[in-house]
Amino acid sequence: MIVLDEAAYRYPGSAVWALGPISLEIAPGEVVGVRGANESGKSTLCLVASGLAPAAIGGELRGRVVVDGRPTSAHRPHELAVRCGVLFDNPPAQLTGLHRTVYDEVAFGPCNLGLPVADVHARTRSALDVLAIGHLADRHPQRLSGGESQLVALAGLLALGPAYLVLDEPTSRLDAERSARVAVAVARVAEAGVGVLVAEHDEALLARLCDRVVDLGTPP
Amino acid sequence: MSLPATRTLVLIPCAIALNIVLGSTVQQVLKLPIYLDSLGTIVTGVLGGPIAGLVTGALTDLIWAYVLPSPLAAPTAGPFAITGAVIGVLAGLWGWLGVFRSRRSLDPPVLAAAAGAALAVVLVVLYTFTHAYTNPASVTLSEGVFLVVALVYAGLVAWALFIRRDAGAVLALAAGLVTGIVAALVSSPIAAYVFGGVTGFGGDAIIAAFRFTGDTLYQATLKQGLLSDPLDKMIEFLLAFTILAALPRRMVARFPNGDRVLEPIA
Amino acid sequence: MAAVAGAALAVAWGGWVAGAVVTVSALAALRAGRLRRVAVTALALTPVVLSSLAVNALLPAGGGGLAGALAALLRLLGATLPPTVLFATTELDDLLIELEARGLGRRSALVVGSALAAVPRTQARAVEVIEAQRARGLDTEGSWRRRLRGVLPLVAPVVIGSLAEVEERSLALETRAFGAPGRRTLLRRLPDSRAQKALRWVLAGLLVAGLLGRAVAVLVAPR
Repeated sequence: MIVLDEAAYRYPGSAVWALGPISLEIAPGEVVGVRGANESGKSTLCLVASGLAPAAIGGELRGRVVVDGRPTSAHRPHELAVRCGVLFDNPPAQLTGLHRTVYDEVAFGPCNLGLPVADVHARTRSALDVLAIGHLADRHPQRLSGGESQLVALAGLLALGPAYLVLDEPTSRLDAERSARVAVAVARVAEAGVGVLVAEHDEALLARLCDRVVDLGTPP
Repeated sequence: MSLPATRTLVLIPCAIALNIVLGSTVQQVLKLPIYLDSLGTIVTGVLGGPIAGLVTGALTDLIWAYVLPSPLAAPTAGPFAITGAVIGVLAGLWGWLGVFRSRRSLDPPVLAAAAGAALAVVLVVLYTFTHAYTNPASVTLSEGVFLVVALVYAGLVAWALFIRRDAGAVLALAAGLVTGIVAALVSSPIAAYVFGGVTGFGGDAIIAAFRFTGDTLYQATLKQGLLSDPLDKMIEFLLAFTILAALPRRMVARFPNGDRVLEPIA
Repeated sequence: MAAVAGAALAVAWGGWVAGAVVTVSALAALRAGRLRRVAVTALALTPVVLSSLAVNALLPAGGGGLAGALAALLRLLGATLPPTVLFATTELDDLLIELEARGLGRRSALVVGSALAAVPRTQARAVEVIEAQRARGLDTEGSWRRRLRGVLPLVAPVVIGSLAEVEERSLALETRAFGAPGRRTLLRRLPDSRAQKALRWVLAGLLVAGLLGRAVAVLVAPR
């Protein structure tokens, strides 16, 4: 379970509380949507729920955020990454640009952990299979469409075997058809038992994917 | 110093790309003799510290010369990696000293202090220039050079103080001037020894002109350097200062040395 | 290894050593089928070559003259060709993997690898900014004063865009466990052989001997 208990967050160098206090729970296999106007804190919620805030960006967190029993303020980003992955809205920025093939790109995460080679291959193949993008394995990551890039980025996250996924407006830069493919992929991932938090503007997407939706309303 | 943060590690390659892209684009598009090939280095030095600046400066020239495929490559840039590294370290130093912090203030003491610092720098510059130009035949040329640099400096300082009312800009300009001089001192031996004074960049004609008046190769490259580098660096430092001042706090604060750039919260 | 040794020796000794380095580089390029690409890079030096010859031919003899210019050119070529050949014959990713296997940290590999990929992206962003600002009245043809005022509106958005990108990319890396400690798993290695290993030792020795010899010669030379 990801549990946010009266969590509030303030970015470093900022005097204003960007989020909260908010309480929220995400169970494995559940898909929870988040809607709200711009600047209402959707992105901040994604960063806080996954633990990237404060682990990777500093700032101040009040209240409690716990992922599978581990408080996020007490862990380093790489420790959190294996439990909760985060997908952002800008597809090219998610890809490292360091690899010549999609396969290597997806294998990046497990390689970072220093896992044995056989493990790396197993996880990479399984991530590609879950998202049905095995046919992209030999393509060059810089020559993918936006939708394909998002799927590859998603595969890269799944290769780490997280129990939860946080998606921050994953389809905002994609057209309808590509958005649909990403939605299908997310549904498949949830069926596999991953708990998902997705922040979105697209109401149709929220309606189709989510078991329930949280509303952050408009900013004060 | 702890291990470099991931953010700094990502900043460096983006800054290298900035150096390379801005270094050729501005000059081509605006058709001005302004080479902004150190802007990325400066910003990285200020936000990420001297070592990050060093890496950015050095790698920019090395990658630009040897790794980039033509037509983007500039093979003559390679040996100047040393200069790039020096600029990066200095930028980090200035940033750490708070030179790039915006200090908007109309208090006379603050403005007077800034003007005083500017004046001190001018005196240092004067000293450097008179010692560089010892050849009597080219004195008029060298006085001209110094005058140009000093006038531009004075002009920019005045603008900073009276129009933008930001004393911090004056400090940035002064730091730029000093850095430019150091850069010239470092690059002229390289230009002379490795290239024989001909690098394919714009300054070659000026170097040739100095040599016609009897200067040795090393003197000529030094004088050309003292003309172009301080002007270049002043402009780049001022640009960096202006851009940093315009960034949202959130963005700056996340960098290791970001707190040296931000004004304290009122 | 060869690239570094070649470049350093060429600069230090000049003269016929540089000439030898140039020849070896050219031969290596030929063998790898990359002669054309290397030649193109060398051609990029042509403006330098021409101006150098022109300047030195016209000057009074005191500045070292034509001979000095040719010597400097040979040094330049010797310093430039070996690294160029290296990068023309090796894919950067493979080179980085190899260096990482030998102890270069994952962080350094990231920095160098990303820089290259970042250039086309940044260039594209610069082009967008230029178009957008032109539509808003940025003047690229008018008086120098007007063009000067165009510097900030052109440069600032590109820099700010890069900094925003830094933020997104560093978070994306963190969520891929980039910060994990220990050595990374490497899926591939460049093929190596005994002959190559031996050659590397020889080159290292030559490099050290060459640099020391030059230093001694300079220090001992009569003033």
